[in-house]
Amino acid sequence: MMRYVLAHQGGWDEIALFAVPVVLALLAVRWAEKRAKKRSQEEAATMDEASAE
Amino acid sequence: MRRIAVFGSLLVGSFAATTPVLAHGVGGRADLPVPTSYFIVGAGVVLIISFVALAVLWPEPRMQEPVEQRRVAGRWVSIAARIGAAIGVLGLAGVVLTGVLDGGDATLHPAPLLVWIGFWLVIPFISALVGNIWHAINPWRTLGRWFDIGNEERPERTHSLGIWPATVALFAFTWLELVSPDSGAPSTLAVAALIYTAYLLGAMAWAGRETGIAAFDAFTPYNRFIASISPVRIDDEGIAIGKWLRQLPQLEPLPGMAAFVVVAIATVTYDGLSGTETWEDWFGSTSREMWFGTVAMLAFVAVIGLAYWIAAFGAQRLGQSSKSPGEIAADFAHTLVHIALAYAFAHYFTLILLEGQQIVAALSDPFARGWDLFGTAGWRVNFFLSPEVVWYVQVAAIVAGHVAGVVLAHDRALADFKPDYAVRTQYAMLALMVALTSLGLLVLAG
Repeated sequence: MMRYVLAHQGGWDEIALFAVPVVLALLAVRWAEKRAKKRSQEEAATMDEASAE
Repeated sequence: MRRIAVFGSLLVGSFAATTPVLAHGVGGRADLPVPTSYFIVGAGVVLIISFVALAVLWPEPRMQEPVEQRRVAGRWVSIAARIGAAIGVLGLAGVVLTGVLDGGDATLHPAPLLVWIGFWLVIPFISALVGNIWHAINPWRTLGRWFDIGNEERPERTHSLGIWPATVALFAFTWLELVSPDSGAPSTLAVAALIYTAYLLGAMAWAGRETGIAAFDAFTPYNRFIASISPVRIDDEGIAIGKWLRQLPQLEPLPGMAAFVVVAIATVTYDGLSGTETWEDWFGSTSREMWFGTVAMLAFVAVIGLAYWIAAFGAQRLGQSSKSPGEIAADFAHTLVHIALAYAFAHYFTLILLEGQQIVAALSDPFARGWDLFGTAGWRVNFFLSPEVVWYVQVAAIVAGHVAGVVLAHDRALADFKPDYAVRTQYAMLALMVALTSLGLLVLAG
């Protein structure tokens, strides 16, 4: 795949065509992981409270 | 950032792994409007988009609980089961008899068509749609019932074996199909059917009818796994209707299950690649030697099995799981079933639709004696599919199979790992899916 990417000697627009979706995808995955972590911490806190009661 | 770097390198690696093959000029479909490489990159992008969409939109496991199934009752169910059993035994008898009484000089013969198209391809493809019809058709189960073999079930005898014997039997069957020079000889098929019958009857006598069939018969897990895609469940109690895909996560991760699915995928891949010009360029006449085919097919199984084990190892490390990579590989084995079906369908659907027509002629002359029982002996194959249509169907099948694999793996990861680790455990699995998609399309394009 890198061969195809590097073979293009285009300008910033071609770089952007490739880079923007990749960055967006990575950000989306990162956001999903953060959300899952937050939810997991909330669930753990709820369980701790329930066991304390 | 380190995780992202790992993720990126896995994905780039999975595409790059295909580059040497591209360099050898695979791409026999010069008539297509866009190059094969575009299809490969496009298919990979579809998988990555699916992966990201699942990470964002699918935060809870949704497919792990069994769904409520509606039982279908009625006299016709038991009648259909009996008809299925009769078809199975007649088919087996047909393969043996027509093989033994083979005229010897026929190019069209019902035994190879029955075995390699009807039995090996049509039954699983129908099972994926309407449930496990093999359960009713299986002639060896019927023979066991008729002759009271294996009435006492002894599951403890196969507990540690799982379906490893069936995995070996599947490899042996595909070896007969793809490597043996006599795979098209009716007499060979008749002998193989008799040997396999003795093997399965022995297994049933040793472990019990259902236990023996489940562990030793290659076609029982094969059809059961593929039929789990269907919403329909067919078992001894009859028919029940649930939802598409929902039986797959319920499959018990038996010992040997991952290896079984890997063998199913690897042998089809071997079949495809060994028929390409690239393969011929690489290995020349050696590629037609039996020892070479055997080694090559084993190597395909080893490479794809190793890649899957590495994906499981990556999931274990990234998910900080207490399970071993082997246990994770077994837990996720059901996610490969779609891929096995997609590979088989993409490779062989033309065989069914085109070469399968030869059965019309063969039935008129089942013993190759120059008969014309139904007036169809002169039937010629109608090549009604254009290469473009075939290619687009193949691409759609491969991509759909892998996307389904990504969905099932994501859902299983959410159930098996902590929520904040689940997505990252699938980086290596995604890379594997992208690599298998690229490989599948390259082989088909060759």
